[in-house]
Amino acid sequence: MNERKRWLVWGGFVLGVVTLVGWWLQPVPGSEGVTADQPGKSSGIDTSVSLASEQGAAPVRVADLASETGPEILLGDEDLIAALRALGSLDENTGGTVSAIERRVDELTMAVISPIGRLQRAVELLTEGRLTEDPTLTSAPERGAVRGLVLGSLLHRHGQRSKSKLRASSPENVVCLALEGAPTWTPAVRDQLLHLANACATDKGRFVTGKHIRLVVELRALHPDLRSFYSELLGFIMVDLPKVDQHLLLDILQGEQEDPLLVRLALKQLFDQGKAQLAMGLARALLVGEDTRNRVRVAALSAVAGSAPMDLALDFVTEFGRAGDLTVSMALAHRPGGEDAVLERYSELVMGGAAGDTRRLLIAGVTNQSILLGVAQTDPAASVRSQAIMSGTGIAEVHNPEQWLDLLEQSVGVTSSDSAALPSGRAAYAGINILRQTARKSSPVFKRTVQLLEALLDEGALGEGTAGIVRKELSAIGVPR
Amino acid sequence: MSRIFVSTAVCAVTSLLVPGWATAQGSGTACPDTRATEIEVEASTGGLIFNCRGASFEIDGVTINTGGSMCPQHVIIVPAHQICEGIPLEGHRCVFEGDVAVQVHWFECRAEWMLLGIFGASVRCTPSLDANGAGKVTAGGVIEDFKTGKCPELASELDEVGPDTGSGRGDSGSDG
Repeated sequence: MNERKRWLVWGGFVLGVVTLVGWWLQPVPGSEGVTADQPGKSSGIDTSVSLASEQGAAPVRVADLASETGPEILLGDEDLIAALRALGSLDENTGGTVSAIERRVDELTMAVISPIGRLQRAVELLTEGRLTEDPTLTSAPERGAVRGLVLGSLLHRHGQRSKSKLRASSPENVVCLALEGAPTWTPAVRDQLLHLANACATDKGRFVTGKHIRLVVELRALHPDLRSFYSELLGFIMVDLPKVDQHLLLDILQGEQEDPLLVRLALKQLFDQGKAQLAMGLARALLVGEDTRNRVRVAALSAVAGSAPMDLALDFVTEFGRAGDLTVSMALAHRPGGEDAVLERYSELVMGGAAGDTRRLLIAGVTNQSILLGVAQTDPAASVRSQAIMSGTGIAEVHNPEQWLDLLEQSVGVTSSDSAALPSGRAAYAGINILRQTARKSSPVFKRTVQLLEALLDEGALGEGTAGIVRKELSAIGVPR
Repeated sequence: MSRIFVSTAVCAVTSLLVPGWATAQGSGTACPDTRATEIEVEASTGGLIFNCRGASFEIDGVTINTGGSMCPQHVIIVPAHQICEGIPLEGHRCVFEGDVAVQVHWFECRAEWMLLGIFGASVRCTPSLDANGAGKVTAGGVIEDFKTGKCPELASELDEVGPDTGSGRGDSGSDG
């Protein structure tokens, strides 16, 4: 056979194959989206994946942008799954110079995300469960799909068109497809998405943006079992947005308030938008509500403490805060000018003879060591003095532990009316704070702290629970009691 | 005068006979008929917020930053406990149980590994270590924990678990 005839025969053969494949890909009316695995297929790549149908239920899909009636295996799926596997296995195969690693990341990512239809197909495979190998762990193809989704969305959205190899397109349909399909993913895959959505960003933004806020809110309401997943995504969006639509904020705050993060972010947004009175009213409604969970109560208080005008914040916190609301105290004290304002209010309360619990709440978040030392030495209430010592040793870096030890040692063996008296249990906790921040055994501070804790045990005034904690701490450093 | 004397005597005898009158909070008050309320464990963040900038790499000319941007200095854990809110329960009262420490877990940005595992980021928000190499956890304050007790039994319980034991200071710190 001469050369020309050979080419004609081969050309006709190829044409025939293409025709057959094209006929095979035609939509088949009435077929379901999922079929069983095909162990007979061999491409040199391990394609053993479990499918949703093997669990007896078709996957739930809110939106189905792929053909509902197409066959499961599309031309190019195996190639795509191989590319996803390679991208997902990157951690195992990374080595060499920085530029070599970057080239590898670039090459593997581009193989998955370009053109945009390929990335969409990857998300479809993920949503159909075609990439799952173990429902408790992410498989390499699943990791590749999530990485492709996040990185691909960023690149398609923010890619530099003039020098780009990418045929960039809007990724928003793919992002929406993923967000809507997430209920069918395994929990491990959803966790992976949250990790990358938080971790990866360009200078222009993240994977989820303000464009997705409405969809995420709707999906959160539609899938109450995945509320925490969508709430975390919503948190990523709201943290970055300079201004969230006020109606959406009201939806969050007046609807079911079970998400402390969203309550805090929504109130903060209202304060940042100059809607202080509205925010205060909504926060007050949350705080007086009988069904408000403590987490939501603390979130609302923290938002007011951190974002409301300072005088309003101080009034609100002293009205609704409880001694022990350390997060709230810290939100007050850590804002610009917060520590000075807290101390001014504290001084007014001391002069006015107010109850110690309010003073204790206010100074709990202070970290200035000299101020805390002054409170620990002079406040009339033992509970406030002990809180000052616990804050000085527990939430601030301890630079001068000797001064705290002096106060703690002075409290041992005195009566409750003594101005140096401290509740024994709280003195013990402060001692443990110092012990944990002191290098072992050779340090004089370490020895003094051990002696203090032993003295508190010997005094017999510790409650059973606290005494057990002290014994355990001493035992851990080789001082059995 | 004799009527006044008799009335006073009757009241005194009655107060000894009616149960509950002598079993209040050590101050002679009647049973408050309240119970403690459970508060669930709560975790929140506080302190400074660090910006952990992880590895940056380029794909198709676009710089991707990894590592996450927010690392709170403290994660504050308030253990589950009970408080007194005046929730009614006949024949019971809210009793102080002891102090429970509010735990402060410290975090920082730390380089974990270089370039290998690039998607895991080279600088991560991780627990800080204390002077002895263990995860740094301190007590930032205490929460008073309460329980629900029956009124008739509390007279004997108060004798055992009073706020003033030993040197007179005990574990209680709530002083109004």
